[in-house]
Amino acid sequence: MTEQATETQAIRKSVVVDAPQEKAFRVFTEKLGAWWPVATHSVRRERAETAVLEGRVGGRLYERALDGEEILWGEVTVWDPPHRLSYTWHPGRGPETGQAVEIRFLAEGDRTRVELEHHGWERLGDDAAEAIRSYDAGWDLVLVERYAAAVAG
Amino acid sequence: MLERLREGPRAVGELARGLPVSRPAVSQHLRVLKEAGLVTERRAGTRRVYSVNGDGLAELRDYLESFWQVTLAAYKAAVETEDEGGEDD
Repeated sequence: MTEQATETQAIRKSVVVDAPQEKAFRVFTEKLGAWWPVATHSVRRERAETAVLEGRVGGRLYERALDGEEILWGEVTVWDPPHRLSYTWHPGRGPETGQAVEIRFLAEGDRTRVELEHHGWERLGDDAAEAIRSYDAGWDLVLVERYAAAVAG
Repeated sequence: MLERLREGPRAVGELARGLPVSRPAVSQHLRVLKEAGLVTERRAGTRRVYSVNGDGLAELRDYLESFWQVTLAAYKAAVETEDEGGEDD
């Protein structure tokens, strides 16, 4: 997939899953903790236990750490099963930095196309590097590696 | 050099000062960093001033693209192996 950063800033991803729309929606939301890769995609990472999405407008999206602490990732803003789900997104950061993630579940026969859009991330502006660190403690390593590769090349 | 640039924008001369490398070597490094998208360059009069790719947006985009790619792949695997018969709601 090629980037079209000049066209728009929204990040778009989609995946077709071999499951009907209702199931696709239910697994995404109710079963979030069963599939979200918290070990790599969370604030606490290896010390995160699971991820939870509360299925209603105003519901929380959060990770629960092994020590029981709940770390907010965002709040549900659109709850329209089995079609659409949106939530704000500010894992490890204050809600004032909240971005928007919108997910649509489109039936394609027996399968479902799941489209994800992440808006407003560019709003982080000068805090982008810090934001990455809060997402991913390995960021500095990535930067260093990329730098090393660039210099070597 | 990146560490130094993180403190603020610098011209080539300022960057070369205090580093055990020649000014052309510094320029060469900056060119590589610029091509890698890690620093940006702007002209101030006759000088070129470099700064760390201020907003880091390109890096953040790359990171988030990969973030959601991995997340959705995990989701796809889960939804396709989920046993409907096991649901208890």
